[in-house]
Amino acid sequence: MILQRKHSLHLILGVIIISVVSGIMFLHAAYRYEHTKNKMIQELKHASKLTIESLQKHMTDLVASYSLHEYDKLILNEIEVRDNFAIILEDYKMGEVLGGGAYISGKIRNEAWQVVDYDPANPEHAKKLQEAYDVAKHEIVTRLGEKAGMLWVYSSDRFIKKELRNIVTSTLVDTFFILLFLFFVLYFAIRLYILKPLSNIIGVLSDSDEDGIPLRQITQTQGSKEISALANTVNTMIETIKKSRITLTKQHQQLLSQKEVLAYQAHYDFLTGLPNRILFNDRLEHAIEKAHVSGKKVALLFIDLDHFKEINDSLGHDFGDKLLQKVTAQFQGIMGANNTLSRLGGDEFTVILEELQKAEEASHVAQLLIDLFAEPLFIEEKRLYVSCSIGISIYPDDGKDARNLFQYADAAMYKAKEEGRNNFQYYSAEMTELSLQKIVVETNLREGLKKGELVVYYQPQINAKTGVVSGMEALVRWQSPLFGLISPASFLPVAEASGLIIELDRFVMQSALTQIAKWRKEGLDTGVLAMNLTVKQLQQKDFLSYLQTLMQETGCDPKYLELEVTEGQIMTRPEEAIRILGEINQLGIRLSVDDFGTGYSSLSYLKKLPIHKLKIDQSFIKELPYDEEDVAITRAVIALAQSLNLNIIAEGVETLEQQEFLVRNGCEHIQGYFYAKPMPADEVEIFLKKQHRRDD
Amino acid sequence: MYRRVLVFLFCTVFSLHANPPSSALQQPKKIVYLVTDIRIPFWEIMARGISERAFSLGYQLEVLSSDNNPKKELELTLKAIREKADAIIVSPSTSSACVTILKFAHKEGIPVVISDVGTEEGEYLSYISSQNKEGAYAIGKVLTEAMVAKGYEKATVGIVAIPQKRRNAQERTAGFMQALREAGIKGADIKQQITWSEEETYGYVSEMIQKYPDLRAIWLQTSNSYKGALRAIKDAAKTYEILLVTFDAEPEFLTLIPQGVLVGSAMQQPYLMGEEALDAVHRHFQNEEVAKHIALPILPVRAETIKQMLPKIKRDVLGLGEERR
Repeated sequence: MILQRKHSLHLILGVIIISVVSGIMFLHAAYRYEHTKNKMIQELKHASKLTIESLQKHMTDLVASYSLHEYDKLILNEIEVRDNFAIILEDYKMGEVLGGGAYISGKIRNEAWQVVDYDPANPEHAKKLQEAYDVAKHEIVTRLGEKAGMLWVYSSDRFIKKELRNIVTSTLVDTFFILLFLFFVLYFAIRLYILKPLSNIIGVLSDSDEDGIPLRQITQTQGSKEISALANTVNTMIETIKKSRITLTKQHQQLLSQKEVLAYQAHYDFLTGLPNRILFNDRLEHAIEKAHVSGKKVALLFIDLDHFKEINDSLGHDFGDKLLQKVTAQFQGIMGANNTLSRLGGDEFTVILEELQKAEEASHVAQLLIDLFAEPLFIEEKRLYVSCSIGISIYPDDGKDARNLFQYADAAMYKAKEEGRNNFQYYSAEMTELSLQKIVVETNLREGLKKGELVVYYQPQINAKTGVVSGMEALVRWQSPLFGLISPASFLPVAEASGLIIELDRFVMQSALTQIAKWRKEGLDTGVLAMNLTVKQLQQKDFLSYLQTLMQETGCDPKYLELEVTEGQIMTRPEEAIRILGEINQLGIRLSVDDFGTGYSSLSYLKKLPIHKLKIDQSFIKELPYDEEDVAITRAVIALAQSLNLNIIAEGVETLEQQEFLVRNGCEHIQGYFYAKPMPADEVEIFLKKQHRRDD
Repeated sequence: MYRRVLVFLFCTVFSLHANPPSSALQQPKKIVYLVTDIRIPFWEIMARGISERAFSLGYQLEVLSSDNNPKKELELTLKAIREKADAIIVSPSTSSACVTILKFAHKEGIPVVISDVGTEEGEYLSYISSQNKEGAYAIGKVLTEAMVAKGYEKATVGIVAIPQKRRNAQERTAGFMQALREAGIKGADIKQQITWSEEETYGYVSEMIQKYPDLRAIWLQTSNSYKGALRAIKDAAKTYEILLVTFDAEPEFLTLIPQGVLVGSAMQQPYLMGEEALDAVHRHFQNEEVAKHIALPILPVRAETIKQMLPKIKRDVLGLGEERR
């Protein structure tokens, strides 16, 4: 459209040429007109002057000699030579002859510009003289000084008008022919040297492939230097574009390849080659759409390897990766045509089962998956027992969109975990409620931390032989205004899962150190303050500096501090634990192993750990002194501590029998309801003061 | 002036006794003869030719001489017009002056016959002239034959001319020069008369004799100042050595030509011209056809022919007719 609105170069050039030439010719004509006019006026006046000069030489004598015909001839000759309009002579001498006045004679031009005798009595002649353009007069004086007559020379602008008309006419004609000439000359010159070469260039540029790149080069034989330069430049551009296109095509192909790689990477798991979470979601939605049309069912199996984290932490990530690849190969071995196996990350796998008539059909696949690990796996010549927990959700029974199905399968998987792992569970509505409860707890716990709903309780540790308080363990309690006092077993796993445990631990540390320092200042002997810390806390980069700052701020002496770490947490990454605990020990803080006997403690590592104390787990104390296994384990732990020259303490002691058994077998330090339950600070203070008075 | 008055009275008296061509009760038509200078014999003879013919035909004639004065010529012209002349015969001072005369007369509707000199233009009834070119050629032949006879083939000829603005003067010069060319004789110089006086002619001739040693002949284009020329030749002691030819005639020529003082003269016939002029006016009054131009022959007179041509010379050239005399 824009192109259509523009005028062609032919038209533009035509208009420019015509305008310029017309303008120049107009100016030239105007100048010539004015110049000629002025010149002719000057010439006319000059002619009058010359006429007078010429006539006056002879006129005096002729008038004086009454040579009327002579001066008449002279006037005639002059008027014809000079082209005057009229020459009139007032002859005073002849006037005397005639009886007075002047004898007036002369010549005048008629309408046909012919010279005729002037007739003073003719009113037409008189009128013509009045209309004359210019008049000059000269007095004729005889040699004796006598006034003999008056000579009048009249000029007409007839020739000026005629000449000016001729100028206008000739200018118009000249302009027309010059225009015509210039137009054709310039048009053909411009056409030959500009337009044609340009058309050639345009033609070459128009003859292009589907990408708009000209197919051929410009072969310029005519045109100006600039046009040739333009053609060369365009040719260079065409060549450059062609080369660029080759390069771009290569780059495009590379990009396509990279795109394919990226697309593969975006949709497939790099380690196992299985569809990743993105592709899994896509496949799941696709499966749901198909099932919606076909009316069949889709089962989503959420698989999580049991204890994979521990394996990964203990045997290394490379080993973990090989395990995942091995497990993937096992899974793929039993996948059917309508099944999609995906890895979502870590040890989490999913299987989409399509075309199911009944939900129970998923059980078969789930069981096959579980059965895959009936036999141990061999990786790097290591024999490894692996199991998995599987959660199952069904479309459309449990949910009608991918997001819900995934959440439900995940919940079911956790249910399987809770059910002791190595099993599969179908989703039920109750699972959702449990999950919801977890979310509620996490939200309220976060709020509770901010609002000071969490408080630190202290449970005294007593030397059974002396009855003196040897220490106390700081324990966190949540006094929720909404739910009442909540058990740590209820909210600590949530805190650990959500990461809130870091903040929670530090809250306990700050509260307990402040309190201990306070009591110490008050002269109360609290013994050693034991605090439970998770490995996550120990792994925080700022933990040691935080602990040092806290001790400085509270003025708490490190010799009164003892940090408890569970056996399981130490053994997940024992090397790192040895390093961190060593650094803590360097600060002068005591270390103890909590829940000792419940995990897989390696005695070689235990020997390297900078620990001072073992704490016998309450699960072994509960049935003392009647359960033989518990008795045997307790004795063995006490013996181990003694052999490693470690202090030992038992927790969860509630009866006298339990207390006497432990003391009798060498465990003097007791913590439990037998002596005191966990108490808030004010009650502990009373307890300590009573203890103090009794000691006194 | 004296002569003019005499002529006037003469004509007037004659007009009273003549038989007018029209009814006796009618006033005779008045004819005015404007002559440039009645003092010159040529014009006086012509005036007599006109007067005598007017008398015989019963016209009232007034002869007005301007005495070679252009102002007077115009005044007399206007006078003739104011006096309502029925016709004017004019022998103008110049062809140019004649134009003015014709112009004024024409404006008043007065017919004009030009007798000699001619006009450059203008309306006129008839022009009476001499065959000047032929006459000059003839007298030129007379001179060249005389020069050849005297062995003057290589000599040159000086000319004292009347003003060459006159048409008759131009014709005379042309005819004479043709005769010289044919004879192979060259002209030495040409001088134009201004005052028409003897002294002027004497000066011109003397100058040419002195200036051109091979000068052997003088041609005067008029007759009135022949005495000046003769005197100059005589003063140069070249009488009979330098030949002299003239134009027109003086009564003395009837003696001088036979004596050989003058080789010859081309004689116009002024008396006859005057008669012809009056006859033209008369024919006009009679409503007869009038020739626009009447050219009368010039008589080439020399010693050998003068006797034979004497009666015609006396009447038509010198106006010496028996009756009038």
